[in-house]
Amino acid sequence: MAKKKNKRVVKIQKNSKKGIEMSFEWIFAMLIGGIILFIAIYAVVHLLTTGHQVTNTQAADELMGYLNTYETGQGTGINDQINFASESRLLFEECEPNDNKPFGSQSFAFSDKMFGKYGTPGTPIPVYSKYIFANDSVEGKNFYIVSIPYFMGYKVSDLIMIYSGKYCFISAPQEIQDDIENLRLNNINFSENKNCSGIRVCFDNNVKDCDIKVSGLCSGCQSEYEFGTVEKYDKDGKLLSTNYYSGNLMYGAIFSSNAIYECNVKRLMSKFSELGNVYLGKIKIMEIKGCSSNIQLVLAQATQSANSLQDSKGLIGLDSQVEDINKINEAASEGCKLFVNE
Amino acid sequence: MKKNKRSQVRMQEMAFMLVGVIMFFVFVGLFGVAILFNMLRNSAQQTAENNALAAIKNLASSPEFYCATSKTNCIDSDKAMALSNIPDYKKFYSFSRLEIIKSSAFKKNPSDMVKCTMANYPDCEEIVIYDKNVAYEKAVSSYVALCRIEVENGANYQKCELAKLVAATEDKSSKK
Repeated sequence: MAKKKNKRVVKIQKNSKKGIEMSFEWIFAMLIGGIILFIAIYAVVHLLTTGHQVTNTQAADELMGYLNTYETGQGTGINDQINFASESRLLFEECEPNDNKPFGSQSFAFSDKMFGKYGTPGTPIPVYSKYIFANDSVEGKNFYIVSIPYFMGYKVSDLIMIYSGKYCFISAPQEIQDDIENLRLNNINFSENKNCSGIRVCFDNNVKDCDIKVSGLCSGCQSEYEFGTVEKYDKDGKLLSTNYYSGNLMYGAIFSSNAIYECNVKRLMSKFSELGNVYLGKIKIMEIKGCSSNIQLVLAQATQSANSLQDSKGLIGLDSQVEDINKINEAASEGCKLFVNE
Repeated sequence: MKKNKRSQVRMQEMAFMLVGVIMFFVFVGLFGVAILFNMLRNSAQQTAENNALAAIKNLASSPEFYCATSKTNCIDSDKAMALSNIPDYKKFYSFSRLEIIKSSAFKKNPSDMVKCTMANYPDCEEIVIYDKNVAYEKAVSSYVALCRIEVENGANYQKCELAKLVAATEDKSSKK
């Protein structure tokens, strides 16, 4: 037996240089063990990533629920601040006015920093009944949320603005300063010159080096800023986009990206149109009660115009129709007013 | 020859052991995934219910419902009735069912309530804004003032009554 063993050792020594004897079972066990270990590590990493993604999805879903409370009713606005424990990111990349017809949809995803870098964002949460104005990606630990109503005759919806950076409003007219001070918006400073930090929003066309320029186009109105344009520039002063606004949509245009703004304007017009149908239904009920008015025709025309709106530029044309609706409604007797904005 | 056979047997033993170990981990994994999935589903359901509750508390303040006066938590009955005739709105809200029940029907079975139509309005008890007819659902409700303009002897006045705004969400945890 010993002779046999010696013979084999000699054979190995002859065939290999300084070789180690290893049986097939050992090689097999190491190979399979390695594969099992690899699968286990892969599964744990995958589970961690998926777990983080699930947490991100839950966070976005909870935030969505939180946004449900931002209904201003007949009030002027709500503002709030959300603080996260770690650096977080809200992604508003998807907005589709033709999805979920006629209301369109918007979605947002959440991601926070893990081991110094942003993880995979959670599944985007669809939003059908809210109009969120924000940049494509909002990052930081503190997020500022503002909800203000948007009227086109009657109240169409609340506009929710989400931002995290600082803004500097240069040469803002008194009525806009009053609005912002009443809403107690965070991280917004006023200045008469460029010496303030943050994104520079200029209300005076003579001021150079602005990130955003707001121009009022309403002549003969209480404020020239009742409707107008919001232009955005890059660091080299090149014009990136021009958005048209009416009323509080000015804030939406300032705080959001061009794509989100244009998409939400279309969604808001669909909402205006659907609400118009609700009011047309209400007119029929009111007629039974003895209220009569010629608002029906003007309202039907305005809802049609809103439905065929191509981009925000069309808002300016709609303004005169909205004025007509307001005038007819104001002229109606107290109990027969279609809507009251107090 | 004898050694070869013994090696083959050992390899077979190892293969069986390996299959056993893999099966064990697969079952443990499946069990874990099932528990995680169940927890996730319950958590999603809980979040959906919380969201529905937050939404319904503020629904009366939305432009589709609020009264033509500055009253808070007040629903314009005429607008709600008009809204019930616009089927598109079921795509706007995330609820599976949305309805308003007048106080006179609080203690009644849903089948006994008089549903509002343009023909019997306002002498009815239940305004169904929409119903997606979902099999399993959980409902949340909020008390509101349901107001409308009435005309009596040529004069207009606002008539209000107590009502319940009911919103239901699909209960995914009850689905088999």
